[in-house]
Amino acid sequence: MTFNRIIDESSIIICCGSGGVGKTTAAAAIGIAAAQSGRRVVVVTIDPAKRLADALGLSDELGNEPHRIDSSQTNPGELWAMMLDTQATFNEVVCTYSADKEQVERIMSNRFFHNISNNLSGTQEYMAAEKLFQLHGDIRFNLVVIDTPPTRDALNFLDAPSRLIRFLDHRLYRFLLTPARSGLKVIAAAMQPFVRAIARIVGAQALDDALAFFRAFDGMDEGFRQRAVEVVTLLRSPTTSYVVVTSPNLETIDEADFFVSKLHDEGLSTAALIVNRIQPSFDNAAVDNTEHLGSVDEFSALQLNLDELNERARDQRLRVAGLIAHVAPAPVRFVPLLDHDVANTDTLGIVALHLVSDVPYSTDPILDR
Amino acid sequence: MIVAGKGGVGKTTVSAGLAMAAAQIGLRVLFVELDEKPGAERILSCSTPLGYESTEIALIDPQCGTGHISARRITPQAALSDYLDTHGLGRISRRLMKSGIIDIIATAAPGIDDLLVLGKIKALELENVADLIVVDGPAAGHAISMLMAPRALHQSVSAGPIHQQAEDILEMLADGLRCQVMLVTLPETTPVNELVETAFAVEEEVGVQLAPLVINNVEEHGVLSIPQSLNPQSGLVQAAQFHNSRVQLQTQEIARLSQNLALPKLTLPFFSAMHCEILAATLLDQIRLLQ
Repeated sequence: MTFNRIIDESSIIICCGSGGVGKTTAAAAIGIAAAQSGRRVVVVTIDPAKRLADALGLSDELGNEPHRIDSSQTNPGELWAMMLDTQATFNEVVCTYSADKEQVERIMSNRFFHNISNNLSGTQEYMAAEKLFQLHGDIRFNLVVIDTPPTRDALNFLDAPSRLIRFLDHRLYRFLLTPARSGLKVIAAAMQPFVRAIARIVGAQALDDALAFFRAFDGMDEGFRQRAVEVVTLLRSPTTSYVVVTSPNLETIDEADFFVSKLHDEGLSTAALIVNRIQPSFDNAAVDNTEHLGSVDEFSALQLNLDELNERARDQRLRVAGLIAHVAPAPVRFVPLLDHDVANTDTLGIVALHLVSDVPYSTDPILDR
Repeated sequence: MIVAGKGGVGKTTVSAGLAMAAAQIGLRVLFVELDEKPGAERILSCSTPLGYESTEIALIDPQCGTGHISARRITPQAALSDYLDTHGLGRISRRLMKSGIIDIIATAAPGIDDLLVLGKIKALELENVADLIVVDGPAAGHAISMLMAPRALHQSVSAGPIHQQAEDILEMLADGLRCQVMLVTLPETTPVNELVETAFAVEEEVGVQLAPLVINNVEEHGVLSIPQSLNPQSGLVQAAQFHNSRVQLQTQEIARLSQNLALPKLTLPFFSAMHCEILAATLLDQIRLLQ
């Protein structure tokens, strides 16, 4: 499978990798490449740094709804972009599964609910998956590209729907609700030490908020569970492609490698690898020095620079060799370290060009060792 | 010293280099890793994974004399378990952990995990376990929320041990002699933007004193002059042009950083293979230059 075929045939592309490797840029560039290939693509970013907005020159215009990007770079297809709003998405989900308006109100006004949206680890990933599911079903688009949040645990994204269900369906909450259902206002005796311990740590008010939330949420868990199953099925669909993004430094390569293994353990495969910001190498053929009019020092400074850059290029390619073998036969794309900042659709177009150009990796002179 | 910066700027490397630099001038150093990723072990050449209890790091550098480094990893789970133990809830703590209630606790009182981690660091500081504690902090965005946690919890939990804990941490954070934040960045547009935002948030909203900034991966050689007589298609010229535009971009970004933040700067060159000792020596040279 070539990278171009992944862009043409996937219905979802998920860009994963650690923070700072340029996932957002990669996602946006994939979006441009796909639009150029005629697809109607929507790029979703969940990165709070608003980097996609920066890169597309639209800092204030991205909301929780897709926004069409008008640029000569996106012909003949369409490119849309949006920034995920976790809270707004969670609100939508609650509205979908609640029995009535009162239940929605009780939940929306609860402080614990807002804490879940903003602070519970995995919620952001789950809402990203939920948004992915909604956009996948939206007839305006035939490709969704998503940039995953930088997570400590690489698999959070796949795991998030079931984690949230486990959380909402917690044993504690079952225990606590039992007396409420039978009309008793006392907490089950067996749970008292737990509750006292929690109250001691978080304070009585916070505990009350939590209990009120679980009480208000009661009855919605079945709908949530059903949806989570559908979302996970979509994440595992054969037309969902996982593209791993890395930079050529050791820490991020390790993490990318770890992610590839995790995907494999889950029975999924890495569709492609993007090595971003790699040092380009330069032709080292001897230059005829006889015509050279500058000083010897000047000339040796140039030679030293060339050698140094080529050495960096070689080191970086050696470092990613193991990772490339690990993802084989998935295609690998190198995006060079550019001598300018990627800050608009034209520069994103240059990155996109590196993604789709079919220069095989071994024609690079540095790699023909 | 809490080291912070966005992903990919070399935060862990700089933290380890700083710890090594302090050991080289004879200090007893504690290196604290907050992240669960295994990067720190490699940089410190530590063969076993760091845990909650401290591990001695073998130093090969003969310069160190009496200086030494111990290292530990403080995760929210371990800090909570420790907290429960020391507050007479030890018996229940294992059951709490096993039942996954930590998620509920962390959600009911957001920031509590950060507070417990900072609380542990504060306790270590008060016990005087080291002359300098270097904390390889969380990525920039999370660093702000972590440092904001004590104030938020101080307000939302109005009494009891957590309130007291928050108060003690706020006291430590406000005292520039006890605690400072060192921000690390690359000389590129997005990292510089984020650094400036983080710096203002840390100083104004949290009230923590900022240490000198660290700018990592700065090209050592300046702009090269390219004789017109050379073939512009040659690798020599292309490489020089590439280098020159990188240098220009870096110079421009460093200048922009200086305009926005009046803080002393430590610049570290591009190291292709990272040796902690070399990094430490470079940091020390840079620190002496500031003085």
